[in-house]
Amino acid sequence: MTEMHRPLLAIEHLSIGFPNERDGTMHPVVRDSSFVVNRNEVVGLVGESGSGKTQTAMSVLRLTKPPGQVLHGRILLDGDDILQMNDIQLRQVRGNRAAMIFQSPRTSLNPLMTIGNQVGRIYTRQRGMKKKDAGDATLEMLRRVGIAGPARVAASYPHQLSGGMAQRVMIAMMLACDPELLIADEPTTGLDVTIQAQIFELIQEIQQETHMALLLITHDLGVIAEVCQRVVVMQLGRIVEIAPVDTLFADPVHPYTRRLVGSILRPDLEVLPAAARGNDFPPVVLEVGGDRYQAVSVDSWRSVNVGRPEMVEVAPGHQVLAHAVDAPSEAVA
Amino acid sequence: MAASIPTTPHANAGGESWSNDWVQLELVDPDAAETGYGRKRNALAILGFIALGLVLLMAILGPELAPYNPNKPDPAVTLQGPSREHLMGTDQYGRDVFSRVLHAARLDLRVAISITAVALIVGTLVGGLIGFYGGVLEHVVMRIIDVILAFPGFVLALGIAAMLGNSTRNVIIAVAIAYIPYYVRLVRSEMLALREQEYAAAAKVVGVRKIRILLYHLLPNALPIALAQATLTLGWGILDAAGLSFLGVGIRPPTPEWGVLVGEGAQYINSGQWWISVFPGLAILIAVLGFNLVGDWARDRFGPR
Repeated sequence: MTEMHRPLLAIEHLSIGFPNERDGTMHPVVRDSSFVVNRNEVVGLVGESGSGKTQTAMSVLRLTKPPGQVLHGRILLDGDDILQMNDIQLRQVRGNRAAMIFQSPRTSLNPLMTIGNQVGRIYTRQRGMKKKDAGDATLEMLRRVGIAGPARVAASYPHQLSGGMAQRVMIAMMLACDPELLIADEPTTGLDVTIQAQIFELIQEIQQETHMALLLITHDLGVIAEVCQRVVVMQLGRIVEIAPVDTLFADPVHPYTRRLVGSILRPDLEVLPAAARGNDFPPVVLEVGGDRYQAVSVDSWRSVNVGRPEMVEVAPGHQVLAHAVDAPSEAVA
Repeated sequence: MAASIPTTPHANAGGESWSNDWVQLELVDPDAAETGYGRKRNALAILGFIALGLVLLMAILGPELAPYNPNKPDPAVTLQGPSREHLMGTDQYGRDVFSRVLHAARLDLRVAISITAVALIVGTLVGGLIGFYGGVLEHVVMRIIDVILAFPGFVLALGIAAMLGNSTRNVIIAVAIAYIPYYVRLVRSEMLALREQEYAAAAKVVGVRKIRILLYHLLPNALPIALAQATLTLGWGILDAAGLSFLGVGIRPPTPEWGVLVGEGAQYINSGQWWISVFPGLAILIAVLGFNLVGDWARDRFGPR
């Protein structure tokens, strides 16, 4: 019973911090974030640059780069806390249960190794295949990710590939691990629009075939609408809204999400959406020391004391970051 | 790349002034082989290859080409100047200097290659390890390196060689120790950049062990920069090994070795028998020059950035 209902990935109250250069205190870049990814589910993670999307994703495979570190929280992959694992257990996760695709495919490949060698190594080293079988499996996998002439590509080096091909190779490498969870961190950054569409199509296709869970980080709300079942929205290191994809677009609750959705250009409307015209920013909630919080209006710099922000369920499966409003204080100098 | 851009002064005639500036910039591109600078560098590289070829030829065919036994004294012809029978003259025991210089080439080259190999392998591994793992070990090793670098390299090698005693092996060890710090620094700094590369992270994601990421993915990528340095060490290694032998703490005198030969002849220069020292000295010059010029060329051509 619990087996069935346990999510594949559960992130609980995760905070990630980087030290302040002056005094060494930890500055949180991800704060108290919780969300789950279920089996066979595609979850989108959206938010502006610097909102903590990538840091959240990296921490799932414990790739947080020092001096950054996870301050508190748990990351449960099928019930096992990744943050408590030793090196051997961690390699088991990385090689088999979870994999990640990075932003820039070309620099994600070793420039001195042929593609065939790099993909093949996963089969020989991680899956214990014989060299010949691994070679066959590599060609088969390259074909599966839509590479024409896999034998030729397997013999070539990363610099000989286009960005789109390199990303297909990366996908092939991660699929060779046969993961239960795939994290794709802006997998189409730097690719042109038609290739972007192809890569997303490929990822979606493979997800439907293998039923692996997918955590997709992207700026492209169109892709989110098309590929994802649920969406997690982040702003300034906090999750501000979690909703099923249809609800998110039809009925966004958090002011940031509203503006995000409102910023989508609609060819069927003649005017620019209000949000794209660039005024009327929603207030931002900041921690002002201790456990005190203020909502600051970006336009007027007027601030209001508020209670600790917490996720509130507004509908089944639809959570929004909310805070109690205290007495208003005067404007910040 | 720059060569394909039209650089005719009239190409932009009537155009705005900024485009003329741009053409000017292209004209001073140092990579362009057509410019005087590029030609000069090519000529130097060719000179280097000729010198290096000469040294290699001596090392490979030297013993076969030598007209006399390099160690056999001949009391009848002591201290004779260059002549048709003895191209580079004879020394105080009547040994043929030309034969001795030829025979020495192989030993000197072997010593240079050994020095370079030891310094390259040890320096790259140490530099790679500390750059990759960092931490306390990195600081400790780097401070030791700083201490070693505080000594002039040759003086350090001299001290170590004097301590270890005269032998070819000890010369190699002494000089290699003086060169290891350069490789450690070089490879460490390269590793600091390489370990942040995304393919290192990608390898981590698929569960590759750290040590394998270092050995299979990062060190090979640090190798070009270390190899460019190695071409220079080959040249300076010959000079240092010869220098140690000249001063008497290196290879023992009867053995034909360029430094030994220069040392043997040194006392005769004042009395006018210059050929005993000058010809082996020239051999050292050619070898060092060859390795350095080819090394410079290799660094420009294959080196990083």
